[in-house]
Amino acid sequence: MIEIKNVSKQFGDIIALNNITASIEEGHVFGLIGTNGAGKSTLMRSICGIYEPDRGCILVDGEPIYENTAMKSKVFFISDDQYFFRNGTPMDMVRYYQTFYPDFDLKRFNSLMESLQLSTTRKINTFSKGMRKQLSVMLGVSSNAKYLLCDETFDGLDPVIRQAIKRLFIREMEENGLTPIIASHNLRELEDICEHVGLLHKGGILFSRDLETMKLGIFKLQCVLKHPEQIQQIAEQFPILKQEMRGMLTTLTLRGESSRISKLQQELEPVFWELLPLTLEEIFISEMEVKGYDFTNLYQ
Amino acid sequence: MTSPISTNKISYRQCILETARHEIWMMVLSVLANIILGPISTLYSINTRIDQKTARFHYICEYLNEIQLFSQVFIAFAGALIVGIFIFRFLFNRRMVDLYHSAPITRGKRFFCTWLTGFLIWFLPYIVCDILSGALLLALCRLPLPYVWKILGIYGANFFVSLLTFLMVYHVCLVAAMLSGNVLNAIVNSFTLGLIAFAAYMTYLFGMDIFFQSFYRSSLEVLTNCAYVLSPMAAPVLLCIHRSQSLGNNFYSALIIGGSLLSLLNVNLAFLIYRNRKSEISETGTPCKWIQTLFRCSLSFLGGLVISFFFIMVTSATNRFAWGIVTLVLGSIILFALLNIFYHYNFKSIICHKRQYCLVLCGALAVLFVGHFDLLGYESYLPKKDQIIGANIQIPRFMNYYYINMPTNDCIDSLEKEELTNSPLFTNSEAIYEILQTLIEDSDPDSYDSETEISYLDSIGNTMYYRNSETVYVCIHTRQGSYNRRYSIKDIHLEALRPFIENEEYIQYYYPMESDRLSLPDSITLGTKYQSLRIETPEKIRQLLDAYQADFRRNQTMEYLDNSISSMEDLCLNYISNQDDLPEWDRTESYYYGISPWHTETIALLNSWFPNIVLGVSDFTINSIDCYAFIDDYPGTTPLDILLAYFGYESDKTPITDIPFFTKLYANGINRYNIPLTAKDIEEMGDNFRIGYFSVKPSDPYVECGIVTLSDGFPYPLYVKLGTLPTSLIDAAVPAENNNYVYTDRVLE
Repeated sequence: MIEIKNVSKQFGDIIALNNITASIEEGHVFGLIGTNGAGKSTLMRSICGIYEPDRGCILVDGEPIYENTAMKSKVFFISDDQYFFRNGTPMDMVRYYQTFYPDFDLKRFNSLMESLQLSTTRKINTFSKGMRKQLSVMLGVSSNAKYLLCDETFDGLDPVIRQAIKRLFIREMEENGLTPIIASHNLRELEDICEHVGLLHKGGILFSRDLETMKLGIFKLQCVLKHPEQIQQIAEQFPILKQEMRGMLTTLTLRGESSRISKLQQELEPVFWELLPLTLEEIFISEMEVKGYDFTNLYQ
Repeated sequence: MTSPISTNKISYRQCILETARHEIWMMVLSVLANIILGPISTLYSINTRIDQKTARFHYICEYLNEIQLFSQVFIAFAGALIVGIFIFRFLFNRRMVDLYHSAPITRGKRFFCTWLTGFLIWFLPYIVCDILSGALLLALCRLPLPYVWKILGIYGANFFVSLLTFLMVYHVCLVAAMLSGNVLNAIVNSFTLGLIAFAAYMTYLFGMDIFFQSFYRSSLEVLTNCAYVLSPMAAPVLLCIHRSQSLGNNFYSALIIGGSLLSLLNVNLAFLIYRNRKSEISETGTPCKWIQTLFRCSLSFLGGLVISFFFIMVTSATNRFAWGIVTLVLGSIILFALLNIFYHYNFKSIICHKRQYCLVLCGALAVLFVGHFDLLGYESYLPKKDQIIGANIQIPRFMNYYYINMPTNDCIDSLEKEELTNSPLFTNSEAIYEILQTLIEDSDPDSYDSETEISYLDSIGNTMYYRNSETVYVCIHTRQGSYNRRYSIKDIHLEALRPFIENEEYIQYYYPMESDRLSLPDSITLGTKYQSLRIETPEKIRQLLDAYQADFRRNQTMEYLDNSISSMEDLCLNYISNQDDLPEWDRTESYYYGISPWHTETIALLNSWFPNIVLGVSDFTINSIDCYAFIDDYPGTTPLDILLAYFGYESDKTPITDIPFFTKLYANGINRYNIPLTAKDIEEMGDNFRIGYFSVKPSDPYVECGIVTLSDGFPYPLYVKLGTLPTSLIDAAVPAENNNYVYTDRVLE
C-alpha cells in the first residue's frame, strides 16, 4: 500500500503539490487524473522517490520511499518522456535495469517483446514513440516491481496495443500482485481499467475514491418538468453541479443516490425523466467546472 | 512475485560496471591520450636520445622531469576536467535524473560508484601506460642498477604529482557540477572555483604593482601559498614546476599537503551537495541562487579590475586613470553580462541583476580610487626615525645578469621568492630614514615602472636574462614589525643610494664568483662547447678567475652597473665542473659566463696567453651557405637603402660609424632578402666574416647575415663586419619570398 500523507512540494514560487493525502491500495489499478499542471507527474516522481517532498511523507508498505532502496526496488517509474541510453538497444536498458532490479525477468521480457514484435537488438532511437512506450512498459513489467507508475504511458499507443497492455496489467495483477498507478488524460482508457481514481487540481487532491462509488454518486438527469420551479425543489435535495436548459428539456448533473433520485421522480411527476450514469470524463469535467476550471467561454 | 526486500543488494562492482558502460567515449579518449603521451612519446623521445653516448642518464632524467611529467600532468588535468564535468552529467538532464534517481540505489552509493568510475577512467589507462613506458625506457637504455632505482623514484614522484593533480581538478569539477544545472554552467563554475583564489591573488598583486609605490605585505608568501593551494587548477602548474626542478621546499610541501586536504574537502563537499541536491533542479542554470550571485559578482569584480589594471599599465600617464575607469566599467559589464547569459541560459537575461552590477561596479571603482589617489595613505607612509631598526635593500638595476643566472646560489632562491629579507641588511636608521624620505617625497604618482625581465639568446644559444628596472625594493624593519615597499629610482636618488650600493656586503651579495659550485671548476674553455680552447691547469684557472673577479669588483660601481645592462658579450667562459654523483659519461656540467668588453683585465690576460687566437670555428669546410638579411628593424625608403643600412653603409655606400641596431623604424615592404654569397666571397674577405658562435675580438661590430653548414653537419651563424660586405652583393640581393638562396656549389678548404 502506498500512503501519501500531507505531501507538499514547491518549485520556486510554484506550488506543485499542496498538502495531498491519499492512499493507493495493493492489487488495484489506481488512476491519477487531473488538469494540466495539476501535479500528477510531480506526485508520481515523489512516489517513486525521485523528489523529496518539502512537507509530509510518502510511505510504501509502511516505510518512507525517499532514499530507501528496499522500498524503491518495489516501485518502477515509467516517465512521460522516458530516457533511453544514447545509441542504446532494448538490451542495454535491460542490462541497466538488471543491475538495479535483481529480480528482473529477462525471459519474460524477451517473450513480451517477441509478442509485441519488437526487436531487442535494434537501436531505440529508431523506435517510434509508441514503440518506446511499449518498451518502457515491458521493462517495467519485467522488473517485477510491485508498483508500476505509468505517467501518460497510454498516450501514443494504438488501440490494439492499449488493449493488450491493459490485459497484461490485469494478468500481472492476478498473477504477480502488480499495482499499476496510471496517470493519464485519456479518461476513457482509465475508465476501463481503473478501480480507484484520484483527481488532482492545482496541486491539491479533489477526491480519491473507487470509480464505481464515484459513478454511483453522480448522475446526469434529463427531464421535462411540469413547472420550472420544480428545479429548485431538486436542488434543495441534491447538489447540482451543472445545469443546462434547451427548451423544455433540462439537463442536470447532480450528486446523490439513484434510489433517492428515483423517489423524487415519483414526487415531481415529470413529463420526461431519465437518469443516466456519468462517464469518467463527464465526472472530471463537472468537478473541474465546479472548481472554476471552465473554458467554455473561450470563443465568446 | 515481486522482489522481496532482502534481494536488493546491488554490488559496487555491478554499479561501477554499469556506470562505465555509458562512458565509453571517455575511456577511449583516456586510453588514446595515455598511449600517445605515454609509451609512444617515451619511445620517440628515447629513440632520439639513445644515440647519445654520453649523458644518457641526464637525458633520461631530463625527459622524465620535463616532457613526461608535463604530459602526464596535462592528461591528468584535462582528464579530470572532462571526467569531473561529464561523469555526473545525468544531473543536467531531467529525463536522465528520472532514470537514475528512480533506481533503487542510495545517493551515497551512486556517488561513490560514479566517482570511482570517473577515477578509474583516468587511472587504469594511465597506470598501464606508465608501467609500459617505464619498462620500455629501462629496457632500451639498459642503465646500471643504481640508476634504475633513481628512474623509478622519478616515476613515483611524477605519478604522485599526476595523481594529486587529477584529484584536485576532478574534485573541484565535481563540486562545480553539483552546483550546476547544465554543462555550460558546470564548466564556468569549475573554472571559477578552480581559479577564483588565484585570480583574487593576482588581482591583488596586479593592483599592488600598479599603484606605484605600493606596499608589499610581508605575508606575501603566505598569500601566495594560499592562493595556489586554494586554486586546484593553478596549483598543478606549480607542482609540476617544483617537481621538474626538484625544488623540495616548504612551498612544495604546502602545495602537496594543502592540495591533498583541499581535494579531500572538495570530494566530501561534492558528496554532501549531491546528497542534498534536489532532482528537480536539472536543466536550470546554477540552481543555487546565492552561489550564482557570489560567482557573478566576484568574477566581474575581479575581472573588471584586472582589465582596468592592464589598461592602466599600457596607456600613457596622462590619460591612464581615465582608461582605467572606462575599461573597468566596460570589462566588468561584459563579464557580468556573459555570466548572466551563462547562468540564466538565456540571451535575454543579459541585463539582469542591475542592482548587483551597480554594487560590483561601485566596489571596483572604490578600489581603483583608493589605489590611484592613495586614499589610505600608503604612499606617504614613513615610519618615525627612532622606530626604524633596519632595511633590506634590493635594486635590480644594480644587479647584472650573472646574479640572475647563477645555477645554484641562494640569491636565486631569494629572488624567486621575492624574499627581500635575504637581501643585504642595513641598520643605519638615519641613512634609511633619509633615503625613505627622499624616495617618498620625490615619488611621481603618475609613473608606472614595471620591472621587466629582458631575455635574449647569448652567443652560444643560452637564454640570458637581465632585469631592467627603475625600481628599488625595500623591506623596512620597524619596532612594530616589517613591511615591504617598492619605490621608483630617479637620478636624484642615486647619490642617496650610494652608501648602500657601494657597501661591501652588497657587492659580496651580488658577486657571482662566490658560489661554491663555481669557485673550483675543473677546467674552463673559451669558445663553444664543441670548438674550444681549454684551460686546465689550476694556476691558469685561478689566474683567469682572479682577473674575472677583479674586473667585476672594479666595475662594481653605480656608474658601471647603471650602464652594464645594455652591454653585450662576445666571449664566453665555459665552466666545466665535475659532478661525482653522476656516471662518468654524464659527469660534466657546463655553465657559461660571458666576457663583456669591460672585462679588460680578463681580455688582456687572454690576449697575453693566446696572442693571435681567433676564437671561433677554424679549419672548416663549408657545405652550404644560406645568406640573408632580415631588415624589419632598419630605416630606409627603398629595400636597397634598408639593406645598405643593415650591412653598415650609408645610402651613398660609405660605411657608417654608428651601428644601426634597434632603430625600430619600420619600413614599407619589409622582408627577408637573400644575398648571393659564395664560399669564394668568404674566402676573399677573410676576417671580415665570422663563422661560429664567437667573435674574433670583443665588441667588433658584426651583423648576422646567414647560416653556414660545415662539414660536421652542424649549422653555424655567419656574421659579416659592418661596412665590409661588397655592395655588389647587396645590390644583387633578392626578396626571399619562399625560396631561400642556398649556396652549395663550392667547398672552401
